[in-house]
Amino acid sequence: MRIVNPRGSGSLDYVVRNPSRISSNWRAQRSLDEELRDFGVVGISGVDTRALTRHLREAGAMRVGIFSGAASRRSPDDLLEAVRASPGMVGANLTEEVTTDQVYTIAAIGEPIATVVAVDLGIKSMTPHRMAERGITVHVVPATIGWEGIVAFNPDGVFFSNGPGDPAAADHAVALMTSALEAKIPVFGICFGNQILGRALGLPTYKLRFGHRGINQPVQDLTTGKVEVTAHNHGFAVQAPVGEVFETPFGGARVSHVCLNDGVVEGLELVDGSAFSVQYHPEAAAGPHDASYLFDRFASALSPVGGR
Amino acid sequence: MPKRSDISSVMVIGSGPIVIGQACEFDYSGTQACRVLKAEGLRVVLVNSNPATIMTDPEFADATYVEPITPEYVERIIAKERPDALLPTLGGQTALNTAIALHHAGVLDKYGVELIGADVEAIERGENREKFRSIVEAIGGQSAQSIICHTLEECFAATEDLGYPVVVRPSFTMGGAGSGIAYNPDDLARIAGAGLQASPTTEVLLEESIIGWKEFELELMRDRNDNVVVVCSIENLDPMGVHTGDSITVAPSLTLTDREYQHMRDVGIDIIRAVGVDTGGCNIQFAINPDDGRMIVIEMNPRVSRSSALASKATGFPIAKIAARLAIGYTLDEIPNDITEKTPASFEPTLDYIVVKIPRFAFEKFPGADTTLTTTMKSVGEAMAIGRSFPESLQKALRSMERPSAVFSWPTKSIDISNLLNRMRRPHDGRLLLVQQALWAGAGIDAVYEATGIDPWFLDQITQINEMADAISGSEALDRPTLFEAKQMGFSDEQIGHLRGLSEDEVRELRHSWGMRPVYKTVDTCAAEFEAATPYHYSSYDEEDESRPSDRDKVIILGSGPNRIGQGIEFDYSCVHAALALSDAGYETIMVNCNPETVSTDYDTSDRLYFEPLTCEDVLEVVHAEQTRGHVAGVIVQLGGQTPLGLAQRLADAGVPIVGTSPAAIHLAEERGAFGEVLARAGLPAPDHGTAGSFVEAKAIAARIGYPILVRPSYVLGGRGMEIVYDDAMLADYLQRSTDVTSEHPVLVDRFLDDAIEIDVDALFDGEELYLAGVMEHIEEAGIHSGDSACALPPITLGASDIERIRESTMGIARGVGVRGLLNVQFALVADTLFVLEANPRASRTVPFVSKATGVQVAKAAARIMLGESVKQLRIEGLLPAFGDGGNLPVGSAIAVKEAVLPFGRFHGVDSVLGPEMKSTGEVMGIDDSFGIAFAKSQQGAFAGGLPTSGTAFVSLANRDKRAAVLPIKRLADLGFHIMATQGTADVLRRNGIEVEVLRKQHEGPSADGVRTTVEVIMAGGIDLIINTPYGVGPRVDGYEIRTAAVMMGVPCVTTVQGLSAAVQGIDALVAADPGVRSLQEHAAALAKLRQLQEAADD
Repeated sequence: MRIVNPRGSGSLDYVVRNPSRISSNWRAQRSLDEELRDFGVVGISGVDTRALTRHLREAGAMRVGIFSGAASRRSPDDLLEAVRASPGMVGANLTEEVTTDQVYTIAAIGEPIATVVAVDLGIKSMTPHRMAERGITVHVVPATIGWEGIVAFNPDGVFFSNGPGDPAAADHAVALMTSALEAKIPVFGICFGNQILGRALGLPTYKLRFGHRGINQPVQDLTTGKVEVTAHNHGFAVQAPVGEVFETPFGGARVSHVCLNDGVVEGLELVDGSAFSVQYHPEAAAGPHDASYLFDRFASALSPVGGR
Repeated sequence: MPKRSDISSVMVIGSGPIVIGQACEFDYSGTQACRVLKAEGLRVVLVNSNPATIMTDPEFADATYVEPITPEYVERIIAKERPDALLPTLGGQTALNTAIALHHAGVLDKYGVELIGADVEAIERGENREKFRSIVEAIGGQSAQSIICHTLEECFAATEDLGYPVVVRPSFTMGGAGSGIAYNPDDLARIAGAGLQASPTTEVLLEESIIGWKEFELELMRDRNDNVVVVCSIENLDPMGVHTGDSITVAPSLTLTDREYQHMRDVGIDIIRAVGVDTGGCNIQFAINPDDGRMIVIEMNPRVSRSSALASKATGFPIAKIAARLAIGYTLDEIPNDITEKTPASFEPTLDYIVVKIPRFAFEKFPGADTTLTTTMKSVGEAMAIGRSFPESLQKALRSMERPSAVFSWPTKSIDISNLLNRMRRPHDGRLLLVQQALWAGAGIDAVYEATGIDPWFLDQITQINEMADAISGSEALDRPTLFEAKQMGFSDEQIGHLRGLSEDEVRELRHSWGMRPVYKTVDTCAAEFEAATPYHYSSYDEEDESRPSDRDKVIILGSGPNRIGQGIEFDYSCVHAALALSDAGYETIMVNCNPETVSTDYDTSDRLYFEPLTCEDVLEVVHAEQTRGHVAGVIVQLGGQTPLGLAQRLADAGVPIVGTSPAAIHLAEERGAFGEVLARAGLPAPDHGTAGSFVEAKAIAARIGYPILVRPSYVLGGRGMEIVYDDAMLADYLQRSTDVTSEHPVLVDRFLDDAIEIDVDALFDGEELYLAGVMEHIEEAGIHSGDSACALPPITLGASDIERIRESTMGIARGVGVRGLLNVQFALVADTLFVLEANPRASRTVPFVSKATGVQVAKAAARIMLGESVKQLRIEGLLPAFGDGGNLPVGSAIAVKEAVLPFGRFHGVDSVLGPEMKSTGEVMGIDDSFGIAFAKSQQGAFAGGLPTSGTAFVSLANRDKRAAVLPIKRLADLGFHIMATQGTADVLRRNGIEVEVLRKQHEGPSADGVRTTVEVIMAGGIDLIINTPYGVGPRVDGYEIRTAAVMMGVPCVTTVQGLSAAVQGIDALVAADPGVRSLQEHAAALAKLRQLQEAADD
């Protein structure tokens, strides 16, 4: 039973111990329940969520089923069987399920400085907004697009979004990334996009035993030594040597960021600066804004007046 | 960046006596800092005048100075110790202000001492309101519109722009002292006048009112690599207008969207960077308009604060400890997270529980005080609770208050809603109960929100608690799902019993019959993402239990709950010592407490920590959880004051092993009749007394034993409601005010021993041997609560035979009661008769003072004795001295003086005269070779300025004191003081050859020829010392205006003739020479040498 959020990343159910029965904020427009219904997300409450977290911490990430009504009255063995029969994440190519059907454009806010094509692998709406804030016109395109389709926009840069699934199965996205690198067009990737860059550079990806979730993950920028507190939501990661420059078909590359909790690779970059990506969520919705400088960096790479 | 190699010794300044706004949270932070710095191999030099702190234990620093925290004394210590660096950010505003004063005086430069933790410019950018405001603007934030004023005229001009109401905030004061909200020009004159006075820079800020907005705080840390983390967000349930220390607060913030929170976080981070706090923590307060989200930055504290302590306990992230490491050069990513041990401190804690903090007030101690909560802090303590939901946490916090009236109840729905709504418009200590009652009666969330500004989310949560109460009382039988749901919402067995007409025990039996018990979750900083190495637990009715009791022998120590007047840090001190001593002795130690300010609730203190209310139900469940594995050797109830002592009998009845003095023995000491028999058997005299259920009975007893008498209700402790009565009229007045006196709740009447010397004794007893830990002679006569009286150790006027009698009497009581561990006895010596006033078979308030004064860890020894060790064995081990005790200190031992610190400055209009009801919040110690200097130091530690050495003394004496006061007043005149007096006193002084200027009484007003009244002269700053001994009590008594003016102007005010003698001795000593400084370690070495000589002489 996997519910896919059409605008968000990955499969989502909502588990909460005590849902609030009212909303109390000047920005609130409707209740949590209405919001979940609108997105077709299944929510359950009254669960010892801490016990659940501890279970996952010990046993690792796993598939889950939520049953209600007649379906829930089957025997536990039956229910377990149904969960086990559901497709796992390893090897799953979910991009086509979540990508946009049609191209849409987010206009630059203020004077436009550059144009970017964003390959939608499951993009969050805040991401093109963060670029638009910096004067970038963003064309969000279906993941199924061909390279020539991207070139047709005459972009100053290409962006690869976050998204669900196993990066090892995302061959088409890797091919697009490879073309972008060959064309020496500035490239920026977030989350799934980081894994796609890793694969295009010839690096392997793997499934983490304990995925990174939440909005308090300490990531160190290896260039400056500074620590940023960041939002994470990833179950896969790139394997790469930390602390050295390694050769790739597109020139020297290195790991730019690592997670201080467990040393997992959190960012990659080509030494010449033409392509970089992070495994976490600098667009920060929700989450802290510590990593928003990455959008400035991308804007600078696109245009001499970028990063304003 | 690793530790700096250029620093090898660091001075840490503590926060001094416990006062409102600056309490034992700074002992917690200072103790953490000392531990860390010592562990890093640095030499630690500590100065703190408060002997009741853990940090001043000689083992926490290399040189511990219990000396006044003034620039003069600290300079003497610097000159002597020559530290490389000074860490001023962990001792509250006191430490920070002292450090800045030393900087400006050039002392730090002179001795080459580097300020670490924050530099002076950063501190000033954070604390100076104009500078801070411009920083907020520069980073794109908003401040409330405000105007800085230096005179009252400027204040009035400012209101033409700002309008009323207007907030008044004095610069550089702690705990919001002197601030308030002015609704009209009269208010403004009063509040801003006092605020200008309170500010060391004579500066106040007037600010547009944002009363009613939502209030938040962030705790941030920054390292020298510019890494910043937000440790915790705190939301105030009480909206703007109530000081955060007086607000009910929750963590994490609960009513913000992610966008609002992240905006606040961004602004907070920009501020800490711009202010330049580069190696430590800070606290920033915000207000948010609930209607449109407009956010205003209120202020910042560029140091560890009260909120930092709360945030540390709420998250498990030890802010002070990390601040100390940052100050000596580490960066956040180099410091491991204590709790996970595997992840770094450069992260932000995530909470999967809700923390509620509730302040505790002491208005009942200060009749006449305004109970309205404002921007000046008035609470004296707080309790914190942790639960998995807001209702659970809130109800746990309410019962942690230990006040039956604090918990929610559901008596009747026939409540006058409009009356409640009107009363809740004024923020005061009982407002939450009004809110709950009004919601229960059907007032509706909108109406309550309109009246209070409390966010509807909180009001809905309280409504859910009320709905649950209805479900409990309305269900046909108390079924299992209903009971479980009730427990999940934090209802106690007692509350459920009330709703069902059952006893607490019946509910508990039913619950246990269903196997329904709380589970214990862990505070782990990471919401279970990583494994926690530190067992810091809280209870919840949930599914999975995480407590993993060990199979070791364990001892459970019950703490003392929220601080209150009469039960504060001194008891936490004893609990912490027990944990340390028993851990050393091989036990696993388990602490139960709910006070977030304390060292006992630091997860480093004991092996396991349960952050739980100290009620019978909550303690029984902890004991049960621990008994599921291993052996609970016992529960200690003797060290946390009355709170755990009051639980002893019920715990014992439930089969819990109580170690030390048994509950039956406790009863012997506490029940008046039984104790009378103990005394009679031991042949010890007590003052005549009787018990009266009416005025007629009381009058008859008074006639029998003679006036003056001491009267008090029989059912309260700690001197509450106790008064000295001198005649029938006063007795009638007392009984008229005590409306609830009946034959069931009688009044206790004791002969009051006039002119007695009061003596306080702390002793250890193992069943055989008595160790007299300390004998303290009060400076004020009997009749002033021992907690408020200054005292000297060793006793300064008692002879060896007096001490021997005290020793024998104490022994008789210890044996008669059956004490195992600590015993405190109060004696009164009158005309060579030693009366026993009372005995407490528990740790007393004076245990830490005695420990510091005699260099013996009394509480540690007590804990060992409770677990069966003998005094003899402890002498062999070295925990107690091999020879002698605190009763026979060798001649030449230093003299320690304890002085109480009183909160009258916070409660305008309350009479500052001392009496049998305790009113002090804290204490200081002065120690030196002679009584005069020791006393002078105690005064310098307790009050800004201490004793004056020149100037004008004003004298107004009760007739009975005039004879005894002549000589000391004459001495003052000889020392060069100009003497002023009221007419009657002046006549007596003149007849004794003292030159006196006469002032007029307040009610007389100034005379036609320009003679001013006393109050006028005091308010004009023309008096440096006030000697005013009153007769009787009550605000109508003459002298009230004088004492109140003295409090307002911060002029020292002596109210007893004994206090006058001590003050004159102190002034004499100060005039003769500047006092020196000596560390406790040096005192201990000197005492050990004297003891050796004494022992040799004895052989």
